[in-house]
Amino acid sequence: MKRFIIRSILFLLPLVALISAFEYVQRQAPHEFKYKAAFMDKNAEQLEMLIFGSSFTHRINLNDIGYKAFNLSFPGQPIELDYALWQKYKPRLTSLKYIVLALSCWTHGKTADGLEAWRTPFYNIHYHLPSSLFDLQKNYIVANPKSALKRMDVIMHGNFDQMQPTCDSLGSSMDLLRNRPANWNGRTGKTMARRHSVYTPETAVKNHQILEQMISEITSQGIRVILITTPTRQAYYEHLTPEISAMTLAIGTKMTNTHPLVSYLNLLKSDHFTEEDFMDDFHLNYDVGGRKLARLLHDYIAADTLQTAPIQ
Amino acid sequence: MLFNSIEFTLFLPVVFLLYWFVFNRNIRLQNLFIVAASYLFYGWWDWRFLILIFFTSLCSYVAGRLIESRPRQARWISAANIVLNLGILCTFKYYDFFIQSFADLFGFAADSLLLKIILPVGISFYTFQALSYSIDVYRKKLQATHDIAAFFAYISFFPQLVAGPIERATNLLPQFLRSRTFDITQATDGVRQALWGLFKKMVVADNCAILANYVFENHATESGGMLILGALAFTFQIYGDFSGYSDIAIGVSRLFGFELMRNFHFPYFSRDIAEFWRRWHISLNTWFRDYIYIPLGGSRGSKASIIRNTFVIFLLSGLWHGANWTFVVWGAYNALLFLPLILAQRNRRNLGEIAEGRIFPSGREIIRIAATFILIVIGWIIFRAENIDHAWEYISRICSPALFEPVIWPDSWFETAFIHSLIGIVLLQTVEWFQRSKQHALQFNRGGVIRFSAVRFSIYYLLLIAIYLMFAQQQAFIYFQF
Repeated sequence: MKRFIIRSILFLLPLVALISAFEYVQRQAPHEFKYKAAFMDKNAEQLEMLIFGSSFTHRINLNDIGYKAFNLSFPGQPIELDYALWQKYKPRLTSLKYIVLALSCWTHGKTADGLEAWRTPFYNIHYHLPSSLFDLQKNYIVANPKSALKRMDVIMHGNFDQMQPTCDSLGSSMDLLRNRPANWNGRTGKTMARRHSVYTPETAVKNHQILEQMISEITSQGIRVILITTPTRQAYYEHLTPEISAMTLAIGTKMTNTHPLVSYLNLLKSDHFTEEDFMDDFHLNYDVGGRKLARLLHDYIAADTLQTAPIQ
Repeated sequence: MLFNSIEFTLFLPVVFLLYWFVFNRNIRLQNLFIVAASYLFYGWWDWRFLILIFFTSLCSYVAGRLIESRPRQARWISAANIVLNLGILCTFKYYDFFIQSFADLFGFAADSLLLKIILPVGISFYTFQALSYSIDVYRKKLQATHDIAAFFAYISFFPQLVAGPIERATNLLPQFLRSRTFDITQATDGVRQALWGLFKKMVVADNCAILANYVFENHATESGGMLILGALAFTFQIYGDFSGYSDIAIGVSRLFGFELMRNFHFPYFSRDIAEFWRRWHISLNTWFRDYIYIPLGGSRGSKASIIRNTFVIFLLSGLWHGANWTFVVWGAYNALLFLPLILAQRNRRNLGEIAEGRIFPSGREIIRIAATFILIVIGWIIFRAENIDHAWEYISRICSPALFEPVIWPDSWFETAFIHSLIGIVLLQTVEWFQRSKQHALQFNRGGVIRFSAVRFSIYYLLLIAIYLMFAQQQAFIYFQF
């Protein structure tokens, strides 16, 4: 028995050491959330505008927005994590006037579990979001192999101090890949529209409740909410299912009608944005399209048109 | 509590250490501890399940004592226990199904008549295990035990409680009645077997599940090639899932000094259907053979009785798997495949090891293995389908011009699952082929390079790394629903 236990310990010891070291290195590696959490810790009280959402709003170039703004969007970020971030920082957002919140097909069908679950440990670790101690997969990167392996290129780089940041000083992605090939990594507008159109009624109901709750809390503090469906190319929006498009419009309209401080900018098919504004079929690029959208938001707010019906 | 969960990873070492270091002084205490740990394991799903397993255990224990003490009423007591246990099983498992089927047939609304009760995990397994005890006591193959702790431990033993193997009282109960000593060889081999089971479940089964679930859900629009892929994916999903669980159950049991029966003997290398049924879910099939088929007359008697007996066990076996006509049709399908062999008395043709003494099978054996495999895959399509129409549509579409439509991957996650499944299946089949004469795929002889710890440890580390790199999103064990 003693021999068995000793052998088991000898077998497990290198594994435990390796896992611990891997977890430590993963946590030390640069991550956009580390920067954003540090920024928020330092500057939350000064912010006048916050952006929440997924990759759709990740490239809004806030240098031209005209407010003290910061972008808390991130690719794959579902509404429940938008809400968790809001909950985390709301006590300190004493100067906040506007929240820009992405409203897309992503809002209806995506959750922090499922295919995007691998991102959750990074939120919990870097933003220190509350979670159960026993939920190892949400609190430890190595407990979720996809989380650990997705960042191997960062880990293998080694010299963390010399790595370029992935976002600008205001939290927006500086991804400058303009005009990606039409079939970049298999992600055409058509394939992604099909993927984004997938949802279950249960998830949609739950997400809409979270959205409603979030908006109620925000507007109760006198903060204005601008729901935004960002521009996309025809190659994307023409392949969204009619029901998902209708659901997005319906929820945006509903929020506008039930909350006086909420407005909805539906730019999905906006012809204000041209080819040079896009990175791919469903994302604006940072330096042209992202800048244009920021200016549009600034003008929209400045014209004080927040009480009008959804703009399309 | 799933075997491949964090909770079980914490549960097992604690139970192991307490079992061998704290409760080993007294066998009764050790058995009581097994009961407590098993009830904790089982109650983790839903504490209400414990009421039923307690009741089943108590009834069968009392039945055993009464059968022995009242020989004149033994037959009635045994029958009453069977009716009671099967009654409970049928109520939970089949009542709603039969009421709904009846209602559909005669066109009336059944909603108010349905019970809509949750099916307790593992009820089919422990019910059959309890029945085997009382029947064996009645047949005087076994003496009724007076040790209630040992009996409750026998019924609820956590490694095999929820998905088998369905143990016989003649094999497992005596192990609870004698003291256990720790055997390092047994324990180490058990850990190896459990590790292989984890690989089968987490890499092969869970990745194949992603493919199979997608294809079966979208069968009406996917190409024939994709449907074949889906059928193959399910074939390996159910094998990886079920045999993986059995390997983990058997392996974990050996840590505690128990030897469970073998449940799978590399069934996809079978040369005919009869051999497949000797190698697949052995504990269930031998249960049906010993308690239903042989009492009915087995393969003795007229051809009509052989046909009747064959259909009875295959239909019951199908129904055992769940409350759906697809399982019944699957059972009937296998009966039809099995019948010609048994009527021609060729069902016991392939008893020896496949390609014994050779590395590779002969051309003839390859053809037989392939033909048997294809027949099995068709059966799994029926088994997996949601209903008979679904199964028919699925098979028809494969046999239609859709077979020549191009196969289009739906997304990158599908491709990832496919690659992982393929690697897992190739590794699985290769290792199991070369280890086909062993009890399990990671059973080592101590000769050659294997005698070096470094080599063995390297194999274990590689397997763990493979599991870590390729494991898919956690899927429930299929057989939990039975």
